[in-house]
Amino acid sequence: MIANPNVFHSIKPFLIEKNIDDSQLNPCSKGVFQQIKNTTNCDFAQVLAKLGAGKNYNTTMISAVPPNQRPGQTIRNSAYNYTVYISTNYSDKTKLFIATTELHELVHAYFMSLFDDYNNGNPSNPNAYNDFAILFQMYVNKTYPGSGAVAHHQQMATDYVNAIASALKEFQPGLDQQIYDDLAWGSLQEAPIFDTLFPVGSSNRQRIINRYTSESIGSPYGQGTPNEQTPVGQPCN
Amino acid sequence: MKYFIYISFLVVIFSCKPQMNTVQKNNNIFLNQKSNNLSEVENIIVNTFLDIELKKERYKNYKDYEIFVIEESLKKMKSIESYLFSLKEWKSMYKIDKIEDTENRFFLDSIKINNLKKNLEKEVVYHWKLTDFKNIRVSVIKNEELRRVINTGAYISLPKRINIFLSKPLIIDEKNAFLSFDIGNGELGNGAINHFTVLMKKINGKWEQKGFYYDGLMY
Repeated sequence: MIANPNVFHSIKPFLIEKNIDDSQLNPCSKGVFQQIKNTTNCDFAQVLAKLGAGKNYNTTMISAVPPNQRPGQTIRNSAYNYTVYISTNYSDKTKLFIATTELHELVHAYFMSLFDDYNNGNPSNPNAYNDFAILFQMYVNKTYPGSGAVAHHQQMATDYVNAIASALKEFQPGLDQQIYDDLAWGSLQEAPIFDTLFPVGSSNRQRIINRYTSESIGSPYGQGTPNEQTPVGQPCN
Repeated sequence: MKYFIYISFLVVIFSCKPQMNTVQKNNNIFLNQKSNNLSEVENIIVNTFLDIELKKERYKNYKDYEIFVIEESLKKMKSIESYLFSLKEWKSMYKIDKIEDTENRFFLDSIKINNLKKNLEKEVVYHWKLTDFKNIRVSVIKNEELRRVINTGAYISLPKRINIFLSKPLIIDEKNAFLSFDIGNGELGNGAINHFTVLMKKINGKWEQKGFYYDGLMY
């Protein structure tokens, strides 16, 4: 996806000092985000860098229960103005679950910024979607069958699962790679590609769901089954 | 004199009380009509919407799940907000291939929108009842109870379910209505499945889904 990902090694210290406003996150979620900002994963450094890159962007992160009680939510308030909600619900969720949610929501905000680059930039960027065919279909060709949310998740599944998994690995190293991958997939269960790769009834699908759920409740899930998962993330309290 | 004042006071009290009761009663009747029941057309629209929506391919993985409707309705104002957000976004896409039929999708002028908004200024939350749903078997759960289930992680020991947030239809005219919904996967607490404001249109005597408005939210 990135022509020369190594470029971020050289300017990373500059980029990560740029602020996404996290002052309204509670201490645990804020601590998680501060740690995420130190990721050296190049793909995700680009996401963070862009969202915190300049005066034209305003990304605010808030700890609150979204109205529809999801673990996280991102809203485009206006051009280049995004708010990310990290739920204070799911009271026993682990830090690893919070990290997964924050990374997921920040990719949503990043995709929203591409929309703004394409449509509202000054000057606009006709190449904004060059690396994101699904978003291009959705917003430009209008041929993509489904909602914007589905398109976002499908594109995230195509381009960012590995980046999120790598960022999670840096957030809490030393775990089995499968855990990072499963958490990255856990919030993409509504993407059509998820059904294709992990059909209903498959062992992989159940393992992903069980991992995601166990981290969301901070307790084992799927006990007595071959895909039982025990949380490996640290609790907030 | 003392007795006169006392008697006058009692007269005033007793003469006023029935009036106050009447006013109160009338207000209750008004509230009942406004918030506690669906009209026939609202009922048809809601049930038609659910019939169509839940049969879509998108819900195939959830066909055996129980259906829970959140008792407190989404406000109709959300439909207007989604319409306006969607319109604004659509307008901003100056490079997009705009084949969309403006007359069919973005057909409200500013006067109509302002009137709708004004009528919704004192909108009260509707409370869904089991009897509102004719064709599908649902349970009704309070929002606070859903919150408790999610917060405590109790959802892991409950039967698999989908959670539906639903607004009452916002009737635009005799052939058009908006309805906002948000459907989540209860297996994950309330994981994202789908959410929109839908345009319901009456065509040849039947209500159909004819358009969607996005509210800018991603989960």
